[in-house]
Amino acid sequence: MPCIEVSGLRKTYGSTVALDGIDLVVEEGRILGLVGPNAAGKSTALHALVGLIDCEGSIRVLGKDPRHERHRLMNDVSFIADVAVLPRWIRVRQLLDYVAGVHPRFDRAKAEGFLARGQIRASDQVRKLSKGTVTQLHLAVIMAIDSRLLVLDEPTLGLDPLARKKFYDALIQDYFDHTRTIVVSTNQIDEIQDVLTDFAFLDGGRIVLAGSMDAFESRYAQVRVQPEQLDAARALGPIHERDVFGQGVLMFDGADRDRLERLGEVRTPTLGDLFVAVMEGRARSQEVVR
Amino acid sequence: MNSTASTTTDRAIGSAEAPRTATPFLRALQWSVRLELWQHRWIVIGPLVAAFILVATFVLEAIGQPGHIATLLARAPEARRVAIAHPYGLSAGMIAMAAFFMGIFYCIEALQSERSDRSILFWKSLPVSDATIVLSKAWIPLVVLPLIVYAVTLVAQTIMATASTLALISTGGDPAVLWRELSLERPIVHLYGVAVMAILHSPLYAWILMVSAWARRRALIWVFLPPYLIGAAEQLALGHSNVKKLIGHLIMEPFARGFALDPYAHSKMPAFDRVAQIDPASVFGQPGTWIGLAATTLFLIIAIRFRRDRELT
Repeated sequence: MPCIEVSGLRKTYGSTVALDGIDLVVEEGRILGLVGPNAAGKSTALHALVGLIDCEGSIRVLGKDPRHERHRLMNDVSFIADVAVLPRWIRVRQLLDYVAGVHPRFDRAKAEGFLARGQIRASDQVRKLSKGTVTQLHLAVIMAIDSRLLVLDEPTLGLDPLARKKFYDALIQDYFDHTRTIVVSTNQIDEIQDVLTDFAFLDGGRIVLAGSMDAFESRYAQVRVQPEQLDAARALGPIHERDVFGQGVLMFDGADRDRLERLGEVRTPTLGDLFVAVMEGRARSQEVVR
Repeated sequence: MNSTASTTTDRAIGSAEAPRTATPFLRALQWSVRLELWQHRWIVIGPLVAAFILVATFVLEAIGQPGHIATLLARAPEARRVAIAHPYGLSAGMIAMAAFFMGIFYCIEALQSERSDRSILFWKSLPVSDATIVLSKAWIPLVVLPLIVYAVTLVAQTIMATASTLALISTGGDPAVLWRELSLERPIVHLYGVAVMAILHSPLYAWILMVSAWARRRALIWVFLPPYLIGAAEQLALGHSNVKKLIGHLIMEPFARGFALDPYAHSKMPAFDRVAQIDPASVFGQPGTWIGLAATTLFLIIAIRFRRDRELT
């Protein structure tokens, strides 16, 4: 049985369609990156996974329906909505006391160990901590919970690059153990590319592209060609093309690498490159339709 | 489009380590009540401040007019009993009234503030049910505040009795006469009073919690405006307002029933400090009490549903 099994997930707000028939299966031990532009439906999808909103369609998370069993599901699922949801009035000690009091899978000593590495004291009040420190605190609490699924919705939004790197380093080194499953939504794709095992691009409430990172690396290639090679490269059917300092940079899906290498310098694109290619391709096709 | 993230592990869901036992309801409730007290420390401070002002006034009066107690003790027996008991009943009622307003303002923001500061997203990430959270918030005005009122009043009245005794001794009076009038049954009567007040005020608190769970913003307005408008409309249309009377009764009646303290009366109420005066039938024999408790239950169920279903936009 998969960790997450979603089918035909649909959510509307008035006439606005936030999710438009999402099908998604995530097996245990995977790290899925949910990537999409603003208003693509990422947060809505994650909120549906943890039972914060009601949706049409079928959702099973760890065998439970989050819409009806949210608080029982939360014994095994951790969720960080964004960086600003810890109550500002609470002190670190009170936060740890409360979570230890209500969560059967919380290891207080482990949380205190994480906090001891930083500058966070038990007497500190959340309102007096910087945004980065609040994120560290939240992550320390979450990492001390022995959960089977961690759902992160834009967990590093508004943090500086150093804080973002620390966050993901801690997540991978101290939390992920290849049996836990992580689903993370973000716009900062390139920063998390190395930690993902799978990705899904969302746009307009739909998954427009999804796959594993292993397949991504073997399937996509990017070649930089001189202007005189451009026509030959275009003949191979690139999925995206852009101009960089007078040279063409073309991206291919499933193209023969040997043939590409004859045209120019070949490299594997970043997930960000692919995301831009997919989104620009969709924008162009929508313009054609109009 | 279908997305499938394939597995790299052979740990199947069915073979996964069994989850540790879920936190029992009462433990989650206890921690959630504690959380409320951490957040709303003024719930404890408010009755303490009210008690301090009342006790300070009483003590200063005892110091300034040490012969006053002896004058009261010289009255006829029934008048003496009423006069001695009056400040004690008044202090209990005033502390209870301060706590009542604390409870009202607490309930107004109890379920709305967690949505407005988005901390609900954190609370809902924990394995605590919406019912536990709503009940923990209802627990504050219905159980915690009455107990605080009881304890604070007991301490305040002990200080007042000590001050009276010292004042009496300083003027050569006999403290035994005073202590014969100070009913030792008062703590039991007072406990009954706070319990009655909590029961009779419960529909009001539950109504406000329900509005707090429902209102997107400005719960204060939504709590007071609809009953006020309905009352005003009834007054304009019919020349009288039963709604206003009902609301006034709902607010003031518990003080009269619990503490023999009639906020409308200008004369001193008879002393209410003997166990024999307790008459549960006058509370539980009234259909209104049971209708009120049914309304409390209904409002709390609706508040739980609002908290569960209300989406953050």
